[in-house]
Amino acid sequence: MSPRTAAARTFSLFAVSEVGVLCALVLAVALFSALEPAFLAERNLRAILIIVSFVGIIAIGQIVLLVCGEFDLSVGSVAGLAAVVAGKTMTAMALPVPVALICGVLVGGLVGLINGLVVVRLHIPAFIQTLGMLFIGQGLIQVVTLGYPVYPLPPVIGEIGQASIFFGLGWSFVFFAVLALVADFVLRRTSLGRNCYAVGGNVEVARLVGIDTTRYKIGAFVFVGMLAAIAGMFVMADLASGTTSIGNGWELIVIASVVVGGVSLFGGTGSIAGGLLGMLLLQVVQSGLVISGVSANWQQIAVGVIMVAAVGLDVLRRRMFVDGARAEPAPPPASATLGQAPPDTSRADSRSS
Amino acid sequence: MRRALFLAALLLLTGCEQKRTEQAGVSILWVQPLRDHPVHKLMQAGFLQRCREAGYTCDIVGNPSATNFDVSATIVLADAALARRQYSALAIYSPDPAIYPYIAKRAREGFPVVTWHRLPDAGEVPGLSAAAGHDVTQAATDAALAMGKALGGTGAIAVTQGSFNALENRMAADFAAQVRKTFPAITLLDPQLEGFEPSGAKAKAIALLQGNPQLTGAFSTTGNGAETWAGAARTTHRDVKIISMDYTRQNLDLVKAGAVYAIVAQPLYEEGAAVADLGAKLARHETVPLRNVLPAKIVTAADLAPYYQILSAAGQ
Repeated sequence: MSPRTAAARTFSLFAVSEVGVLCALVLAVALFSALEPAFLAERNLRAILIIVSFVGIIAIGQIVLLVCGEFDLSVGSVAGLAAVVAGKTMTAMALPVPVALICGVLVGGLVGLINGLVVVRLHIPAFIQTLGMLFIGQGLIQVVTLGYPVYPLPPVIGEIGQASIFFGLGWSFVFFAVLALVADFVLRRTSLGRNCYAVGGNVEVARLVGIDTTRYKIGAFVFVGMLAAIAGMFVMADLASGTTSIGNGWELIVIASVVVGGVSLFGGTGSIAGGLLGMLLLQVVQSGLVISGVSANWQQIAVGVIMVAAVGLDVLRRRMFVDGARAEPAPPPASATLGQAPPDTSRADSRSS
Repeated sequence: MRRALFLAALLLLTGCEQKRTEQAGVSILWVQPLRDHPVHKLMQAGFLQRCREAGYTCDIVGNPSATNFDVSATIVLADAALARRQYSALAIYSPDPAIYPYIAKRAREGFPVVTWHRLPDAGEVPGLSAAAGHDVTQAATDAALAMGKALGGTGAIAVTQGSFNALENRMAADFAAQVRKTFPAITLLDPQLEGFEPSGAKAKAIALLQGNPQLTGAFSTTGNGAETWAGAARTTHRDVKIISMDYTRQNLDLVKAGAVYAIVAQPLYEEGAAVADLGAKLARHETVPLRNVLPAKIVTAADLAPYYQILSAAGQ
């Protein structure tokens, strides 16, 4: 191997969008474990993974929707609404638990469908429609519950929430892990996923090449709505209660996390791995700050600074390595080196996330 | 004789009727940001129940949320209600000083204003006529003594708050002061913000447990704290003595199950009822004390029954 080729390969490695957030994650873990060795304790890692699994389920849907060029601000209230609807269905209406859970998922799907139809068919901006749906969802939670938590729930719900499948992790993590693998495969390896990138990258071009962009966008809204509902119901199971504050504030956490992970707000760019690494990074930082004994007043400031710094470093990485890699006479393509870059990584990487 | 009896009966009936008319003439507007929070609903249930019993006309306004404490949105709703109907007294929730100017403004207009849940000192809230609630310092002191005793005077205690507001800050500070005074061998962590979103609150509690292996106690100044800490202790397999606020049904069940050591039974339902009576007295120009203290017991598994009964009476 010539020195020239080795340098080019290093350059190509840093051109991969996930590398930046992965480096930041490794740095954060190293820093917090040096400050407080208990950070790397098995129980803490397990706790971080459990928390990430709840919001991560929604993040997967949000990544797909962002790749398709839209986003959804109503995911938090959809999660809460689905949880209380499922809870009420299995308590006040006394329907079997599986039926109630399906009702919850359908509520999420229905809200997603409404969001999709309004955004795509009526051309209302997603920001307005989903922000409106956030308020509608919060109002509906109060209508359904009259402000009281749905409690007690059938014992099987608590059993689902407390189940330990492996390494002390429950069903929420199993669902999250399987979903992440499937979504990653679909986005990177199937025509369905590639079409999502095309729709988000340039909707006109995608339409001209025969992709049904309307169906893709509406489908992505329904997908994220259903996943938000499932995440809300997993939290309900964990608490054994349909608390009315489930999902509160998740919308911004999810979007901030996946953007930190390199998913573009403008569509067509990003990967499941990157988005989830971004989510893990923010959770590691939040947990690490508490474990390290940082004052509560400074924790949120630190999270905000780290969030901006992570995106800033990623922008720097793109300028140095992606643009630099393009300027090289003949660097081997990233996809050839790693075999995993999304089809339009180089194009979309020139955008700002 | 017959005539005298008739006159006496007539006077009695007239008196009763007059009293009923006075009662019926009492109308109170309850103003409470974060209107739909479950704990606030319990306060409102006590208020409405007492209004029904006494024949007062009572309305409730507040920003319709279970998570967002929005004072300005609540003031707009209160103004709209006052534009619609004449009220003889106002009950305004005041854990946040942001609402103090509104209380002063309405008092200047002649409304008697009652607050609840905390007992301000004289002159602290300009225009305030009366307050009903527990003595925060006393409740925090009782909680500290119960916690210290349960821990045997050693170990470490984490303190968490739903938000950093005047009431919770005071509860946390008074708790810490009493622990330091009576149990100097106990280590106290600085207060942390647990927030109101359940999974985020639990994540923070877990991080506190992991970062502090010596932690054996947790005191939360919010009603969600019982659920937060019980979940965190279960996830980390740690034995933690937990004391939290509020006798919601779920919290009582957690105490009953042994997952939570005790609940500070803030007199939520009772405060609502007391506010209705104070408001009515002030509307009739009667004199009432500024501070009306209600008991806030530390409830352990041994004495849960009365609180289940209150919840059942409130339809919860």
